[in-house]
Amino acid sequence: MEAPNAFYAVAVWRRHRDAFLRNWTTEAGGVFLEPLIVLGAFGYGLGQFVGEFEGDVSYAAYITPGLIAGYAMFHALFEGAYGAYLRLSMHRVFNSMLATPMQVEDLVAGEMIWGASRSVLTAIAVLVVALGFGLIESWLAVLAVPAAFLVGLVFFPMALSATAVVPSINSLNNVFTVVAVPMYFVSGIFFPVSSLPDWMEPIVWALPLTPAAHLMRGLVLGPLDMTHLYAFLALVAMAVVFGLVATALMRRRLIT
Amino acid sequence: MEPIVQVTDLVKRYGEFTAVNGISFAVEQGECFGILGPNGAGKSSTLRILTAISPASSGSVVIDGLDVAQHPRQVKARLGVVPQEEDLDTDLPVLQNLLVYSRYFRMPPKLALESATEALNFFELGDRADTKVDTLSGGMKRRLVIARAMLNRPKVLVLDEPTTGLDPMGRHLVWERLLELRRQGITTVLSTHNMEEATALCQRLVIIDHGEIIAEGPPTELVRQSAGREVVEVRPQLGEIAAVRGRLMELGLQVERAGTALLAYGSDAIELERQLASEGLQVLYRTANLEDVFLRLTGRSIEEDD
Repeated sequence: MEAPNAFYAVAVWRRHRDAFLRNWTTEAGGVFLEPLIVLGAFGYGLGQFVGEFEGDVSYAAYITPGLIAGYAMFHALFEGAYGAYLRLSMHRVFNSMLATPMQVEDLVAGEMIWGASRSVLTAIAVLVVALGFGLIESWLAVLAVPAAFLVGLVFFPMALSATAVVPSINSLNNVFTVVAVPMYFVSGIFFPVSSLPDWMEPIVWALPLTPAAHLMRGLVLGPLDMTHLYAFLALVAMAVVFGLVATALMRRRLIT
Repeated sequence: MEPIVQVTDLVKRYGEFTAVNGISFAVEQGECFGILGPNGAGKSSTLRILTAISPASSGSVVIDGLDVAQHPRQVKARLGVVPQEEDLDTDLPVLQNLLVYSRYFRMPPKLALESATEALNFFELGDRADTKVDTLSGGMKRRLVIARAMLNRPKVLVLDEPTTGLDPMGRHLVWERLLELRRQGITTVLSTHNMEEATALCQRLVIIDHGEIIAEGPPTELVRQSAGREVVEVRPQLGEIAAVRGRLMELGLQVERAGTALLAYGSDAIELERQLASEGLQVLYRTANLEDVFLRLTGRSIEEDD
């Protein structure tokens, strides 16, 4: 495996950006509507029964950073699963790219920064909605945006790896029903991990979404401590490892 | 002058299956070179190795002095590739397809726009710049893929079955453009299982079957060597094929069977046609072509699956 070339990786990203800009109006509504509904239903609906939470934040404010992490995950996964699958199999975009000076490593790197960019877009949407609800109090919350990029770099290659090995697009549903949705509900977004049974805690901390939600909470609600640094480093390590796995699997899939 | 493409002892295996079994050929600068063979003969595998998309199991390909396995990026920068399956970007309109693609060759935007506009005009798509790719006809899509392959002014244009799946009108438009490129001296390597295409476009070709080269040369010469000038096609009633075949062989003719027809070679064809017609057989006299070459060499028709 060779190191990706930044120029070609960015060329992949620019292609996806151009395609996105032609169609973005069709999905822009959903990107804002989703956090609006979830913050409304959970934050204010369920929040009425929960009361003040962990210190003295409202339930809606408590779940906001976790939602940023959760949506960053979902959008990266969607892009790496269905988006990349269509580019790979239906539209043969990857094939057309590999006939140019581009190599598989560049292609996967470019896909990853695009997937992470989708995470950034959704993070901004959640932040804007939360700001509208008056849930954001610190300017540090802006750091949730680059953190969402990192979260995207962790999850996108997981989905891309699945895309590289699945026999059909339907199998990709498992990425969501078996992996993403359960993780979304246990990774400390809606309640603290410490409230889980003792035996579950280490397992839940090993899930990639848990450090992502923890880091986001530190950035948005504060105060930051060493555990947030560890979460950050864990995410960086996972992004690198998952990126290498995705590259190897894509190489196997595309180069025959 | 060094050949611009040099393929030596190329082998490609997929597990137990050997798709390409020791192929060697060279393509000279400015030549239109064809790889002719039935489906599954190893044409696409050969072209995929040649274009640095797939690794060879053994053997080598050198393009413009560069080994494909060692310098894939540099080689791909010198090629224009037209794949068998159309892979245009359906998310982008026609002109933008080309402009986005030009970035992969690090072309500056201004040059890219010039080159793309020129390519669209050349391939008679100049008025389609803003059209969605989905709405183009099959022939237009194929011309657009070729236009895309020409953007970077390639040293070699490589086409895998450039007109497969097109209607006759679309096919002739593609041929006409490819002949114009040939006139301009663009080096072209193309694969096809269409005899007429090989004859119309290629100055020299190899015929491959089961991953091996079974004949090589200019199309007209191959026909003359293997099939002679003329053929008599006999179409017996069903059930009488074996009997008629025996009768033809009694006359000292070389006979091949192609589907429901028998082809007789190696005689004064006009005289033979007259004689057979007088015996009440349905006969057709025609000049020999590459189809006959393949039939003589393999005993099978090229369109036939074996």
